[in-house]
Amino acid sequence: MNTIMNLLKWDITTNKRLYSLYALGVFGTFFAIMIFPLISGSKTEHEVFDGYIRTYASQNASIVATMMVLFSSIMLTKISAPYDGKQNRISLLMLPATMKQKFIERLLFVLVFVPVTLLVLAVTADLLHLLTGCVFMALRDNLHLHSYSLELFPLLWDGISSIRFCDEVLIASLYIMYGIMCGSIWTKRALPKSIGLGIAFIMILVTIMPIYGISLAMLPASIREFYNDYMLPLVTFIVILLADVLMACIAYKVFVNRQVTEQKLRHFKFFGSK
Amino acid sequence: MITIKNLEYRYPKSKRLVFKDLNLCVGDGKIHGLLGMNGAGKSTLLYLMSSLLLPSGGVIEVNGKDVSKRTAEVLSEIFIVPEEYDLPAISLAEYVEVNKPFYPLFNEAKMYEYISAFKQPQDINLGQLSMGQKKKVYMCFALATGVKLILMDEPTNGMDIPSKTIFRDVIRQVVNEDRTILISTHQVKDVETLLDNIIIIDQSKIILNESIADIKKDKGLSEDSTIDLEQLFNEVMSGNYKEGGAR
Repeated sequence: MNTIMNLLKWDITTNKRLYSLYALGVFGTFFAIMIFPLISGSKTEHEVFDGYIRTYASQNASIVATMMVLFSSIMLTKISAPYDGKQNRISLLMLPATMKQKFIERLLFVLVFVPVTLLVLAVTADLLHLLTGCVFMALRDNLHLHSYSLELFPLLWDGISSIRFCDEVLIASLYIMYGIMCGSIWTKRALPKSIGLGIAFIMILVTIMPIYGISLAMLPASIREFYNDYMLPLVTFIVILLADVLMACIAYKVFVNRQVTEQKLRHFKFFGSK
Repeated sequence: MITIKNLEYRYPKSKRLVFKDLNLCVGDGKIHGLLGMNGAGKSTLLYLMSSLLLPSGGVIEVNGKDVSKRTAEVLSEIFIVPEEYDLPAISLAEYVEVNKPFYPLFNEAKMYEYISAFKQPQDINLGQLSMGQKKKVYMCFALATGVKLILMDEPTNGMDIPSKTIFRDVIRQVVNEDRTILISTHQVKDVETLLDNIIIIDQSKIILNESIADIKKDKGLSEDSTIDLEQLFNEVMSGNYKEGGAR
């Protein structure tokens, strides 16, 4: 665990300029979206504040959540970003830690550190939005400041309570593992490549399935027919779990077998490699 | 000690084998020079020794441990100084702070001593250094890590003339019974007086692996004489010098 923490510290410090730029970009985007209704005139001042200053998140939880998911997804596909460039690959590969520890560190980074940082950035942007709102209101005589309403905690609680365990968690796990797998394979432009691969996969399915007399639109109904109500959740769970495990294995194998040279997927040894 | 047994390697995109059935033994506590023509595979061999590349066949062991397994233990015994190196845009102090936990034998005082020897300031941002300066700082860090095997690829490239002298002095200081330094270079004049052993590689084969002392004996030279490495290299490549020929 100590080595993983040292790796995390090493990662954040050596790439601090890049990560700071990301953070600044994310913060700027959050703030721009939060302040947009105020400066664009798309809503009247009364609609925006109606005499109160509210956090943007408390009124537009879905927008903030969507942005968090979007930014998290981008970072998921950056799990192998420290391997981008020969010098970076040399630095990371030569660090005295096992490849497993390096993989776990990157997982921690994209699955824990990034979401927490995004949350902090969103809250900070919202607080700045509140302050800007105060200035706006102070500059206008027809609106008066009545009270502050920091509704961040209800937002968090709503977000957590809205997750219906099982279905959503399973789908999310599939989504996360797909992002990590694609991020492990590609060190450059992993996000567009992963979107492209996803579209290609769906297109192939749509093309192939009718050949075997399966309609994509009718697939859920067909599965429901095939399995009874009791079996369906179990089968879904097993299929998604297997897909997760497969993608996790590919991600891990690709990550730990990386070399100093640029490699395409076909160059990785999946079986019998050390 | 580095032991290479039946090494095979081909680049992922190539059908040509860079190494086929290569065998080599590199002893401890010496400075070894790795010489060869352009494209002979010197840098590739260094990358394979440091597990930056994984062999297609055969085994490379450093002190009896298979380097391709990339265990933390093996990696903490090897440090590679590549020909070109880009350091992160952070201060030297930060760089040391985040890297030293990985090297239990790291000696910070020694590192600053080497940096002073190279006449480099200590309060520096690594991102603002020239290539030559980066190389010096990185080399100083490598020498202070306390690892047993240091691999250097063209270490004197990009160094000014006074720095080359300092480089030789510093390298002489750090070599001891436990520590091996392997230098791959074309700048043979820069390391002529430094090397204890010469390895020449050509067409995937080791065509010479002999100590300077033995070469001197073969050539009938006195112990305190200096070998002209350029001449030796040409002799070996043209087949006019054979390992252990006169003995």
